[in-house]
Amino acid sequence: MIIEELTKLDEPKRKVAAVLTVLVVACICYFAITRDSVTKLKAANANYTGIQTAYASTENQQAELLNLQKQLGEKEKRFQECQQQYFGSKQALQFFENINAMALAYNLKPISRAISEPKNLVDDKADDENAQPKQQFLKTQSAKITVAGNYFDIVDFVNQLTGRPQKVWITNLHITLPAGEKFNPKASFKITLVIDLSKDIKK
Amino acid sequence: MNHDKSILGIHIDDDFLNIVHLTQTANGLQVHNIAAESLEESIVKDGLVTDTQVISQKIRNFIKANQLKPCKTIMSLPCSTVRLKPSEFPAQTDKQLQKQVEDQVGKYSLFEGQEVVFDYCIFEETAQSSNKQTVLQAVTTRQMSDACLTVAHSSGLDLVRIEPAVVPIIKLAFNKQTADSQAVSLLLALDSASGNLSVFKNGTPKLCQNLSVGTKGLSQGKDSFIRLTEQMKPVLEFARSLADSQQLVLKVTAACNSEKLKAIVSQIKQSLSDVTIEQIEYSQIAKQFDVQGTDGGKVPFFALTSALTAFGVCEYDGQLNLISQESLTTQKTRKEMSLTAKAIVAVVLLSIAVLIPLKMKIKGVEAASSEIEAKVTETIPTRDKITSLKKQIRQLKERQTAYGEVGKELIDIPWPKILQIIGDTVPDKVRIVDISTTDSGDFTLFGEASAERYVYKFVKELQNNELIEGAKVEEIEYDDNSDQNLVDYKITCKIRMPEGDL
Repeated sequence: MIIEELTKLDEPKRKVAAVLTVLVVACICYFAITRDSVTKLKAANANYTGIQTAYASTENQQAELLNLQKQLGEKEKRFQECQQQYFGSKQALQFFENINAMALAYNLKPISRAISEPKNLVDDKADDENAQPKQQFLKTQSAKITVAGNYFDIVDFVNQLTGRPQKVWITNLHITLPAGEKFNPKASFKITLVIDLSKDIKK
Repeated sequence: MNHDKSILGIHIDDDFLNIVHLTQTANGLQVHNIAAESLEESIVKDGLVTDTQVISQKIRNFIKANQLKPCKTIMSLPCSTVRLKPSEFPAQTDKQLQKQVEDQVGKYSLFEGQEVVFDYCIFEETAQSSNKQTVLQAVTTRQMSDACLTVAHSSGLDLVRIEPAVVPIIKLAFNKQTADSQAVSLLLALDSASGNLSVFKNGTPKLCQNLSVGTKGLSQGKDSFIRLTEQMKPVLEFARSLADSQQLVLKVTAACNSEKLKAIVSQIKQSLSDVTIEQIEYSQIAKQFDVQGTDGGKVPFFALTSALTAFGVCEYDGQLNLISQESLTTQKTRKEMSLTAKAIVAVVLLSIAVLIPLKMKIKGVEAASSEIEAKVTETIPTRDKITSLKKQIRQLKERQTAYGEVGKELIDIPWPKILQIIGDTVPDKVRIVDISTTDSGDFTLFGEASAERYVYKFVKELQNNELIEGAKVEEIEYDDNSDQNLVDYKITCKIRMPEGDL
């Protein structure tokens, strides 16, 4: 049947018919067989590209993480160095309690020791609005000390008080030779130290 | 002559498949290969190829054995399968002549109503003044023609022509020299089962008669010769009527070897004593047209003449082609359809084949995606870690800032060192009674000395110390009440603070 119909056509028309048939079959094959896989492949490639982009950003995150870890390490080291300069609450209490014993150890006669209450490092009144509550973990505590004895013992005693890992500030220093006294002056001074409350929290 | 040409001449009769491979070389025409394969009964029946597969296979074997490239082919039909009819037509245009021939063939009631294929060729008249032309018409059945076409197609041959076996012999045997003579001659061509007897005058055909006797019958007994003579009789009478008193010349040829032909001719001579009998065989033609490669071989004559006419060696160049154009178109269409079907199958297979790499690719991409996705998932805690680290760093910064504030609030004055310096530098003659300090780093020394110079010496010593700057004697007062002439003094000093502490 088909041959008879085709025979009636001239050669160019037959060729056109053949080419069209092949093209139609190719289209059908594409849509029926290949297209689904091509679409899937495209989707898979798009997904892959997206994931790769996400992965690239995670690589950046890794680098950032390493950098931050390094920074943190350095800062912690410096922080610990700084932190060592300050007392914990218990340390401070112990220090103040030991002062008379230390004076005695230097052959000094403790005359008086008045320990004040800890107070904030930054005065709240002064800073009112700009006060940084973050700093409130630092407190200062002072004690007024009066001892009597040999001048050089006093020097050694003061040296002992300040020559420790934690910082101790000495103010209002006054050394005087009482009337009638020739060799043993009386020294009065105020010692101030900083208490880092975060040390207590850590503990 | 055509150059660099290669032709296969194929003649198929009831008993033999004859093939001649003839080529044009620099030295002339050359017969390269021949084949004369006997055929079993019923493969070809009454000239019609009934089993085309067997014939095609034999031809393919011949091509393969002789390592031939596909070449042009001419097939000649057995005598009994084609009706030849010479007619005279007035000189006219080709188109008019074609129409006249078509009309005439349409009137024939040949081949019992079967569909026919026909063609014709023109034989020129000798007389210049003649306004008539002799046309030799050839008619065969389409079945016959299509069988040959199928054989050629199955064998992969380029079939250029299907012609009656006798036509090339006519073309070769009757040239213009014979046309000039007034003699009447006859041509008897015999294949295995049939024959053709044609009458020629002035080199143009006047009558063509098919005979039902062939070489096979003639070689078997006398009865066949009697039948042959009887069938030839009316044709001979017609020839005699044309020749008047002239001696008739009968040229005899057959699709068999020379010896068999010789025997046949001898028998015919005995029957026809008043006719001059001439034998035409392949050696004669080979000599006439200088065809090489025929020595010692029994070249199939009909196949050879078919191949020869393709090289234009004969003076009559008109040719008969009995290929049905319709069959040719159908065959071409089939071929095109087959190619189209192959292309469609190829497209379908290609589509399916493409699926495999596509699926593999998809699998690969998906695997790679899940691998990376797993890595990405693994790094999700990293974000939390980064946030946590940033928070920790921020807290540390804040605390460090707070520590920095301590330095601003509290000034570190190295009083122990200062006291040590004072103790170390005070001269023996100087007595310190009071040391008063301020939080800004100033201190004042009060005391008494045995002489003023000792006070200045003490100040000088203090000035020389790198920790102290601006030591000066503020007051000197002589104590009149003292027995030892003591001097009261007041020295003020300023501590040199290390940079950054203030």
